[in-house]
Amino acid sequence: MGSLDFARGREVGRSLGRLEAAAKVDGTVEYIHNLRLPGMLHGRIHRSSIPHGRIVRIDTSAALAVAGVHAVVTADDVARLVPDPYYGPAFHDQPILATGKVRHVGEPVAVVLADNPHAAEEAADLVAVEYEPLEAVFDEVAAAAPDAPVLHDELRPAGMFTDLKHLAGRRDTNVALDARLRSGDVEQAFAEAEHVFEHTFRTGKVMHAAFEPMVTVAEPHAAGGLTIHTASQSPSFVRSEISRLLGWPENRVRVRTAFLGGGFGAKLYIKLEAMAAVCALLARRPVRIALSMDEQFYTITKHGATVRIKTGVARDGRMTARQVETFWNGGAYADIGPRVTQKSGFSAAGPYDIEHVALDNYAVYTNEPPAGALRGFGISQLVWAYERQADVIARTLGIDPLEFRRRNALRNGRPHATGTVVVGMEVDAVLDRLAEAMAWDKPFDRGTGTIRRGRGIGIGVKACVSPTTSTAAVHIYGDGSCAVHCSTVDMGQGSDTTMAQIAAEVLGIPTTDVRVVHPDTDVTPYDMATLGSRSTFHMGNAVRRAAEDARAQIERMAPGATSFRDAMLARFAMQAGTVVGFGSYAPSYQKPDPETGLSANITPFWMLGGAGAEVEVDTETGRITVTKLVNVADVGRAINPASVERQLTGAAIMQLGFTLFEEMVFSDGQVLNASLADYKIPGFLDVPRELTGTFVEAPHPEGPFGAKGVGETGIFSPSPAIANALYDATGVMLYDMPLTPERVLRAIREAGGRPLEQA
Amino acid sequence: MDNFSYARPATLRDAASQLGREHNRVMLIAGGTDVLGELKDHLREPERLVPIRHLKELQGIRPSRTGLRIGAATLLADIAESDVIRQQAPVLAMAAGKVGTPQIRNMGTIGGNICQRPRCWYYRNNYPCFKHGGNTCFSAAGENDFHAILEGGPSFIVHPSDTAPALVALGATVRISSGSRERSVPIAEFFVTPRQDARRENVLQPNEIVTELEVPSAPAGSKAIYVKEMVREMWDFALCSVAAMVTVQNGVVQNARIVLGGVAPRPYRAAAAETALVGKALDEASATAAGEAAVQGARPLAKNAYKVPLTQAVVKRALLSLA
Repeated sequence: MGSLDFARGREVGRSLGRLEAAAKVDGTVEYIHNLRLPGMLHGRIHRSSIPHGRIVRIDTSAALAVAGVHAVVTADDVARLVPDPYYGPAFHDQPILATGKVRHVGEPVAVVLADNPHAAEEAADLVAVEYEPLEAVFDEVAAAAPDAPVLHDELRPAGMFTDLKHLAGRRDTNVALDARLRSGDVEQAFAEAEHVFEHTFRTGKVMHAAFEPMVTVAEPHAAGGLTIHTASQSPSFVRSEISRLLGWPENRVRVRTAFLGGGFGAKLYIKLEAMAAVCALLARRPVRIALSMDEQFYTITKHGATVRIKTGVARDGRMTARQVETFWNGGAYADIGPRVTQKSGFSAAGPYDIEHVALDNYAVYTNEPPAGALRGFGISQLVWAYERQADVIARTLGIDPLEFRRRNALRNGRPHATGTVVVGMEVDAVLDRLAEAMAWDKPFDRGTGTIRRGRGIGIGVKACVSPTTSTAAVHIYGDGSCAVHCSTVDMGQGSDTTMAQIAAEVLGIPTTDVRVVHPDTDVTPYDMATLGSRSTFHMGNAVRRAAEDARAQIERMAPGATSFRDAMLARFAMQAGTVVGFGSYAPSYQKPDPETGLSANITPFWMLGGAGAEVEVDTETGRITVTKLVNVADVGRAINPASVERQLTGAAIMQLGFTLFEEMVFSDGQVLNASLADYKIPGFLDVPRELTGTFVEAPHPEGPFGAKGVGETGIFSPSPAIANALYDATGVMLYDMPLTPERVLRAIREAGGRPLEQA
Repeated sequence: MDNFSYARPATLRDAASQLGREHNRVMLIAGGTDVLGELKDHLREPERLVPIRHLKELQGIRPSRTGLRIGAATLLADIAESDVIRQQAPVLAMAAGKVGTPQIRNMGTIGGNICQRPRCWYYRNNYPCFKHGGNTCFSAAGENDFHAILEGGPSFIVHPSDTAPALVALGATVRISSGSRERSVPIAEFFVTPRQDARRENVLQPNEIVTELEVPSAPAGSKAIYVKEMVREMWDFALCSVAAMVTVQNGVVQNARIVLGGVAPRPYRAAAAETALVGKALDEASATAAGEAAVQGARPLAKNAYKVPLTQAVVKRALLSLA
């Protein structure tokens, strides 16, 4: 350890406040939303009014006549710059502007560029587009049928994911990807099972509702380069995809971000960046495109899903077989949907030790807005199904729901359905903590009269996405001060503070002395993206290694120095110079077998989240009041315990909204409630009286200081916990989210033999 | 939103003189909490906006011979917190306090609250419905979870105001001015059913301004409550609301006013429920009967049948809370 006179072990595991807290409170923190550049034009999108149709004619003359309008950009203009204007992380299927046809209401057809946003908005309304409507399809099951109207002439998988290559050129289908897993023999197991349960569960489409809507400012350089300032979770991806589209080397494209006002998966991959870049290059001026809250509903959503689940159970309550068929409503463009389909799809056996498993997942194109990542990448849709069904099984068999889960728990050392042997996943500990937090063994007040009380639990698992890479640099400056350079985006989850804590721990300095430089592809090294709860684990490891490298260099170059400051002076003979430590991390991985979906190494770590809910159900109004909500996560080790708890309570509130209120309502592909007045996210008065985020620690062998990711873990299980509590309170089964008063009251009345229509 | 001219009138007469002969070409704006949303969504594209919140003729809460006179530009927050309104017309203070959020109540006015446009999502998405001059109500065969179960057709909007049911229960009078001419309309006649006029929710003419509400004091010995059922706990419009006011003497209901919000195209006075109550003791049985009577004649659409038992329960509970 040399003779540097400071110790390790002071920073990790502490509930430190956010480094940027004061700047966020006083409003000085940087958001791209506030960026204005000299000579900047404002772009406003003219969007499709129909769900599916050919574009016959675009008349821009009235829009161009508006004072202050500089240009109206359409697909023809895009083609001059980008001959093949299709982008996407999984498929190259989404055009920068609608080309030849439109595939969903709200699809960008033209962009008006004007001196001011008001002229741009006025002119955008004056763009006149003539369409030849085509038959549209919205339901994911109907769209997967052979006779459905087809959205895309042929499938165009992107090169990045080699396992999608076989899909190239496939025609006449809306099924972008079918991903399967086969382990054991389900048919035989069902035949031998004592009980077989079969259900269909559905979840509708919901939206991220980040409070900073998407925004990009593209700035062309006279010398032939481009800077893209963007509220993005994936600056490295933006750089590579924009470079590919333009046919430029990556070193001509600079992508930078600042703090994000929320992301939740909405700001991944390409959203406005390609459009803004093309507009700026055509106009030769900076272009800002900023969405309204309403426009976000037409940009990216969570997948609606239909989940058919069949489970065989032995006499002793052990699940022996599970078959799941899931149709994922991907909307008009694949975005990351095929990854959601495959990576979530293989987890449908849950945190359970089930010997025979058959899973089929279909990523389906429909004429709705594109669906992509939303906190959990599809996991919550599956947990909704298997944890609702778990309670039905437990109740039918007369087994306590907690005991049922214990009896079926997947334990370390046992193979997951994918064949990967589980390491570092603590199902028993999470269930124990849940039991304790819910006082599960204590008598429970079941309510009286029209208020029925119930409680429920759920537990879900996700395999962290793999394989992905993070790299980081730790700079020691001439005066001994230090900065972490990494491309992890702090979108409110607190990654700046976490990375600073990890670096500070290694360097032996206070976290507050560490500066974290925000993502800038000219400055900060590559990171796959800020998504999937991967940053603490992957980037945390990279930062740890970079800090270790920097510290080792200092110790080598100035043995005996007692501080970085002295070390720099000793080495450079003046108070100057730079030491750069570098670190990277990419876990090992084995691709699943294309036929069986099996892999000996599917993920670097398992994320496990349990939830418990107590509810009051008003049997006359159908209102569910969640009085207590507990989120428990297995986090390996908490780098910042307070930050972990807030991730869990924040996720609980977000999922509470999806469970009780939120659903995009469509009419022929048009979103009827595309505003925060009509699409109802929870307010503070909806937060349960008792809301707890808590975690269990069992250091993960490969995590930085034992840590695993936790950004999504709290989203998995609140929905089934709440619905199971409703079930416990009233005995009624609901299969569809959200649990609206209409659905609850309808179910209660039907169960009571008084259907609503006979009221 | 589109461009419009904006001229601040000095007097009520100035303001009225700027109004034209047709709706929507010139629009009034007071708190703007509804108007700005309409402009941003291009539901209406007026040539001119006339601000009226500052007009002195529209200010103040004053005593009158029978009760109170409340200027149309009075803020909802001020109504919710006014001692004199809490004493003399408590149901109105309660209703005003249930509107939206503190921010909305601190911008929105009572005049604007009773004149706000429907929240129907087809209307808000500019479908060519009755409200936009068309001849279809898209909710009838569409997404009608939040639509009317009473007095619906040909349009099935529900009136979104919280204060309107309270004002109907109190028997308020709406004072209206065209600058040169004034008139008073009993509030029950101020609102219209879609059968009377499917385009509009009230009788206000294009050149008229609501200036004042005359609110009689609640009867001596009466008790009142405003109950609002929402999807979430805040910033929401009523799935169903009820303004209930009863006078009980010697254990018997002498007088009852039960007015529903959120279930019909106008504030719906549940006369049958009132009848069911008068002459009875206010108890579980009479409250239940009143709840059932309140939804007599309800004709729910495909997705809003839940509003029938919901309304029954809300009415029953509101009444029991007064027992």
